[in-house]
Amino acid sequence: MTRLIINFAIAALFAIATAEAAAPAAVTTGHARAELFAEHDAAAAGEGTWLALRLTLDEGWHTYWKNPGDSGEATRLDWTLPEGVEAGEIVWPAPERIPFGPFVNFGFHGAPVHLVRLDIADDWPAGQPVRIEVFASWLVCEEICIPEEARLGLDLEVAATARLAADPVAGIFAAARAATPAALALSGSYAVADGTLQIELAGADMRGAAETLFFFPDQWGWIEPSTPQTWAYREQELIGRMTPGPALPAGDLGGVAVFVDDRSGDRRAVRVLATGAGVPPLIDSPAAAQLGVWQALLFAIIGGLILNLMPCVLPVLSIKALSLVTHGESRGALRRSGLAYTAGVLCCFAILGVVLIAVRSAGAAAGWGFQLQSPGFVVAMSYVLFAMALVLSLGLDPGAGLAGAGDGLTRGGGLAGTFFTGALAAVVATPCTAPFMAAAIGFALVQPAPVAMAVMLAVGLGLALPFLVLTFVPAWTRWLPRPGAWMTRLKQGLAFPLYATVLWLLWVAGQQIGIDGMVRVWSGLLLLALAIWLFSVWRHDRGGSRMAAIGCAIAAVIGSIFVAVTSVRAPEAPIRVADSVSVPFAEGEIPAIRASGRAVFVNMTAAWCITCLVNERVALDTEAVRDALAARSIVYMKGDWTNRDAAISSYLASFGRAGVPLYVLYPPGDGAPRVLPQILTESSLLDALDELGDDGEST
Amino acid sequence: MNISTLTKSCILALLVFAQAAIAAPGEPEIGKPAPLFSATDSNGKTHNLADYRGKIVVLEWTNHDCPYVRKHYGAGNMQALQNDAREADIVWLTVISSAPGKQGYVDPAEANKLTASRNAAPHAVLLEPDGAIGKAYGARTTPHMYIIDAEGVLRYKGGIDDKPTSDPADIDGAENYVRAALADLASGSAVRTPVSRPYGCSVKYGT
Repeated sequence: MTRLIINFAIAALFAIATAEAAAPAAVTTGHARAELFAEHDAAAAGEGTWLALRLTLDEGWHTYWKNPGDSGEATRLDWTLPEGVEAGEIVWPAPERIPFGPFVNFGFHGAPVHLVRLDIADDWPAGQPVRIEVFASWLVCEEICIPEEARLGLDLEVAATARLAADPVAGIFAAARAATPAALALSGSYAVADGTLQIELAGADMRGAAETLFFFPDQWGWIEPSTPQTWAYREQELIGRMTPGPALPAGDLGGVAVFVDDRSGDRRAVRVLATGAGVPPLIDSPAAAQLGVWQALLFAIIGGLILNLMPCVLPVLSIKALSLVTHGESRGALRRSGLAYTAGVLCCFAILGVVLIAVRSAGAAAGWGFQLQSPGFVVAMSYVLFAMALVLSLGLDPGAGLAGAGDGLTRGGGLAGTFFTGALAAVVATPCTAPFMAAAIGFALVQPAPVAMAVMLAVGLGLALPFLVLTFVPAWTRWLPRPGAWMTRLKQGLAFPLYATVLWLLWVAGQQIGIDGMVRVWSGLLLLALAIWLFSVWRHDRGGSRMAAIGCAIAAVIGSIFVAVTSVRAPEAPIRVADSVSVPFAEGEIPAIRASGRAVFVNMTAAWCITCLVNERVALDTEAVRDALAARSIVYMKGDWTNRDAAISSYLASFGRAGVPLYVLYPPGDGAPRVLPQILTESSLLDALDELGDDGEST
Repeated sequence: MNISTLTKSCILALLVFAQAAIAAPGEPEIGKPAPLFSATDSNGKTHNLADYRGKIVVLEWTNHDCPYVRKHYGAGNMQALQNDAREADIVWLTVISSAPGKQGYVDPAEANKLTASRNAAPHAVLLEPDGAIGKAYGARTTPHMYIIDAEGVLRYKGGIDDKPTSDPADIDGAENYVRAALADLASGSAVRTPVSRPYGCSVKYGT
């Protein structure tokens, strides 16, 4: 009996000793507290359980996800387990983006919980506990990084029937599961073209959440963590564009999409799997879908041709056409001037194309007319056109050298003058989106650089074509009237469309830089007018007075440029015209509105888009349309693209468009949205609204 | 001005424009010329990358307080590479891009003291607290390694080896990408692993 007691005592002591040598279930390190939990108080053999390693981090410190991003190291767990027991891989919580300087890491703040599946063999004897030990190592960083580690362990009871742990452990597991990405919810394909990785996904409907979405790839090198991603819906597909990393796989691209649920406001995460498509991606839309390269080029040329009739281009072009009548040059000279003009147009479109491609590859959203989003460009354009208009009004000699920089170039005579007229025509054409061209440019924007450039040049060719044909077929110039006094009147008359264009540009500038900025621009134009007048009055003088006049003129020009530059530098909060009928564009609200049985009409516009403004005047702002919208309680959303706006750019891209206007009509419920033509009439719009009503009733 | 000069000047203008547009963003690519730079070392000497044409150049971003740097210096791994490079007439430039007040920032005297105390053997230690070179190269971590060949073309960028940990025990058995790339270049063959994941602490750039 004594012997038995001694034996028992020794065994008990031994047990205590081993228990003390064994790793504890919680360890506090420099910047974290590590704890190990099991989901079951008693696990059943064959069923196993889940383990959780929780790292409670000091405030402001973070650890890393399995793909740590630009730097850092993922937390690692090395298990020591008896035979018959196996631990799985870490099931990670959804990561967050952690920017640091110019870089972005993927990881966790707070108390990330790392879940691990534990399998226990069927034949594990009930009643014998499983000793679980884990060596956890993690990098914890704030500004600086510190590698930390802990050895943790616990004894898991094994019983015939499993017994779940109670709170708080149960709560830890529940919260950890909620923080892990939902099982595969989005799948699709990806492809890389022209330096952009495009992922197309289908599955869970996350309309409205797309803007907040960020894709975290499973491995390093698949994407550049620090570059922006754009996500938008194109019909049923979610399209993401981002910068590929240096080690993009040929096969599957897995990862996690994290987004903010637009209804609950909660942060959510889902698994994503995209397979390599092998074909270059193409954003298509009802318009761009069927476009092949040749068709896009044809549309581009037609669009360019139509541009000639736009109010911004017509005066510039007419002045040039008049010179054909006057000069009566030889056929060869005519042809050369036609070619010079075409070269000017093409050169300008090529530069525009390069800028567009560069801006796009830099990840920014760009589109047709994007340069008018820059107030500096708008002000410069207004100066050039105002100077031209003044020269026309005052009937100055076209050969005049100093009469305004832009005009000096365009009216400088000879081929150089013709070349710059072409360039000017191209520049002033940019605000006018013509039908056909929108689809072509939208197509070009998602194509590899050479195709994009070809489409841009085709638009230029279309713009240059009428003048080029006139110079090559001189017989046609005979249709033009004979030169005479009417030409002076016409020139003076043509100044007025230019003044009107200046007026419009200043209104655009006013939207961008406010009323004070606009007044500065007006003051600059006043000085410019003074300079041109000084020049016209005294340019025939000789000697001192002439020098004085030229000096004053130059001073006035410099003053006007100074005023213009300072006006652009002093931006103010843009003034928006109040509009009682429409609400600001919010893509996220559309699904909810449609679900409530109301239709949505989206109007994407910009102050510098003449087509948009004309449509608003003749079709959208009419009483009949307002009544029709109200009668059907349609929500009228207006997106303003006057200044850069990434959300609107990505919305346009989701319809294959690169510019405004865009009109989209969403029926109530979940029918496909309908894209309306770019040129609206009151009756066509009313018809579309009527059809909507019918659809609504029939479905 | 006639048509052909017009066309030529137009093409020229476009090329200049295109060059500027292409060269502007991003980090250097393998097989492309490495960004040129000029920097002052811990002895006040100026080093111009262009002057090293004809020699292989290794760039090593460092921060002596970073555990990943300490892993390779503590075990003598980095110094061994530097000595090998010196024997092979390879120019090894250690770069410190930490901003003043941030971890790893040192003045020239401290930099020299570190080199001496660690028995390091770089050709020079470049101090660039403004981080311009680091940003031009897209240096993310310490260490982050780059190898530029004798023609000034970037041949390797990435980590020092394939074991992204701060544990010195992992050096044995790791594949040292820098050593492998230098061997490939010496034998005239293509670098087998030209890009790898850089691992370590983030470079402590100023804002």
